[in-house]
Amino acid sequence: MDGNTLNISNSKAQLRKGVLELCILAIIHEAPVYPSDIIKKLKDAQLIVVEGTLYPLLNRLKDAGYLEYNWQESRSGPPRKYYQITEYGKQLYQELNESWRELVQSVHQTTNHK
Amino acid sequence: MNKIQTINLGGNPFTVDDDAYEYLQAYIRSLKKHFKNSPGCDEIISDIEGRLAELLAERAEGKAIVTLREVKEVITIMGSPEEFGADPIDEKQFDPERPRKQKSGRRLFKDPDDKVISGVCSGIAAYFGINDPTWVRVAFAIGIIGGGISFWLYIILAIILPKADSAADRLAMKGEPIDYASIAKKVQEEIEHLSHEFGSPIDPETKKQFDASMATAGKAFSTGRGVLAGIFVFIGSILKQIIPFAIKIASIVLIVMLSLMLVGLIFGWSMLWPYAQHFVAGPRALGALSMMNLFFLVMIPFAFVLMLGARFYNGTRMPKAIAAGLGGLWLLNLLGGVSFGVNTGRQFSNNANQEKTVFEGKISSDVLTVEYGEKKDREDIFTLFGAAWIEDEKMVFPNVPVHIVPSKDDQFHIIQENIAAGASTSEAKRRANNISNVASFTGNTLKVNNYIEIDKNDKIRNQHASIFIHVPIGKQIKIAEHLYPVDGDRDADYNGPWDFAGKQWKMTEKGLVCEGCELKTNDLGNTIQESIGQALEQIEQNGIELGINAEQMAKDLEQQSKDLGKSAEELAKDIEINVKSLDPNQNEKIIIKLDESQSKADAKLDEVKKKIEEKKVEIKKKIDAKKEEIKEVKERKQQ
Repeated sequence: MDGNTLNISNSKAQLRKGVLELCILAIIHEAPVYPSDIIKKLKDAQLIVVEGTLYPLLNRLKDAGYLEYNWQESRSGPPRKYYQITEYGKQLYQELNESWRELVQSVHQTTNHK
Repeated sequence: MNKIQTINLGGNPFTVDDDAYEYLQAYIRSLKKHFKNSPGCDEIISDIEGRLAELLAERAEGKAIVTLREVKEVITIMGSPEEFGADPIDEKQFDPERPRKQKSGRRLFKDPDDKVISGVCSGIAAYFGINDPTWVRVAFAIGIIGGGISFWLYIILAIILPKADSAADRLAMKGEPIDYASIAKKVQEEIEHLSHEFGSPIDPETKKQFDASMATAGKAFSTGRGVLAGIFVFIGSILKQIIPFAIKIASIVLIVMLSLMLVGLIFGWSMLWPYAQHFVAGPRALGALSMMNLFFLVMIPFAFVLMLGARFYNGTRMPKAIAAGLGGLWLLNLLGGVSFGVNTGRQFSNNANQEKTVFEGKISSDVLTVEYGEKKDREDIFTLFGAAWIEDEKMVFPNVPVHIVPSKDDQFHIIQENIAAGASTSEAKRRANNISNVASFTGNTLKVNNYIEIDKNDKIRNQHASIFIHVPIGKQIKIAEHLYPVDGDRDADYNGPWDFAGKQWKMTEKGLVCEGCELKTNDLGNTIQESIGQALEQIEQNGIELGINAEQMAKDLEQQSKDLGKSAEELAKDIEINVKSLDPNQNEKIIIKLDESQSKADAKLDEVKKKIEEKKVEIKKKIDAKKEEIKEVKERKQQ
């Protein structure tokens, strides 16, 4: 298969996807947020391209007990979901953050010594 | 053009057009399919819908309708199904699971690609999803033979139905969804079909005999032998070649039906016969001639159709000479009919009215009675549509309306107004004058006939008569029961029964008011309220008057008592003087004087008491009178 060249963009996407959960947890860790705000931050950071990818992720984190949400009235339109992090989520965040740092270091080391 | 609908997207209402709706639905469906196996499928979808709604709301702000453009924009932001890893939206068919509402999307067209005469039948076949339009054609042909309605239906459809010229029209004709993919498919089909047509000659064996005859009929039509010829050839070829058995049945039905119709027509025609001389312009003979005209005008085409039936039945043909003769005769009669029609129609071109005074002046009573004079009524089949008939060589038209209007002076005016038409105004006036008199006035009673008579020589030329009764203000008019039709200007505030017949009406400044009719309950309440209000006002007025009277009386009493005081003072003075003098001789005189003064004072007091008593009685009387008056008003209103 000549998939190697074809999959470069895919690999990049995979890379991004891997750290996406960490980033989401980081954003929510600061304060309860509304998905649109998460989207904005992720978009600014060029971590996601299309908004639709966020919703399955949030759902998965919520189902796993890392996140919870409550409904808040909005001035325009129906009530909105506000996500906040759980204790369990905080733990995960710490762990992920730590392993990310290690990973960055390792990657740095590896790539620089090449 | 695009239909719109209102949708609920994540709790927000949107008005979207059909394209946008279909696209959005296809998008959400493909996401659902993708997330089907994820645990939080419904939640993810509803989150996405909510966000879509938010994005759409931003874009649609100020716009009445969300279109495909906005939906596509929003989906680009949200991410296409492929970006989720889902199947792409099927652009060819937004909605593969639910077949498009076929009926509502369909329209009736003429199909110019598959036509024998004009494409009506194939259009109908396409509309109902019938694969072979031949069946529709056969149905039409049988319809034409059977009753003739489908012939006219065909002509009308051929005129009003639009031709399916564009690919979109053709799709609408067949009820297929109109979108780019299906139009493209259709165009491709057509190109293939055309190349096939041009590429290979028509194989005679694959064409049915029927198709050939269809072509003959179509040719007959298109080569200028006329629509009828085309249709006849077309009908003939179908019946001969496709359903020989049905021909016999159909032609028997045709012959029987036509015969029945013929009997009906001749009967109707003979009923009309006596009226012709009262209608057609010119002498009596022309009336008869015009009826013969009408007879041939209707019967000759009838004979042709009947012969057609016979021809289908057993091949009997009308000899050409006779057919030509009948055709000529028909044209001749057409010319005659047109000339009669024009001559008679001309005499309707001008209308005129003439007024005749029946009575003018005062009457000895306050009430004018209106009754039926002579009454004529017929409803049998020999009348002209039940609306008129002949009696003693005269036309009788029942129906003389009576109008009641206010008189401009203090006299009754009873006027008969006649209307008629004529070729000129003077002719119309003459006719209007000739309408029979319908009213007679004797004593205080007006008798109105319910009909007018029109002389045979005047003909029926829109003659009408009505009676106008001008009633002076304050006078009354009594309408006999069932005198019909009567109208007049009623008082706008009047609230009693509305029909004139059988009641007595008084003309007031504001219009007619029924005398002695019961008013409606609602208004009775109002009237009582009003009278009570009036009575209260009156009582108050009386009270004030009484007050004034009492004040006056008190003043009088005061005056009188002052007078009395003065008298007493005088008396005392007298006594003092007398005592001063104390002349024993005078004693006698003093006593007398004292007595005199005493009796004077007593008389004065009595007088005053009497006056007070009188006043009391007077006031009581006044109050009683007022009470009586109020009671009377109440009673009158209650009635």
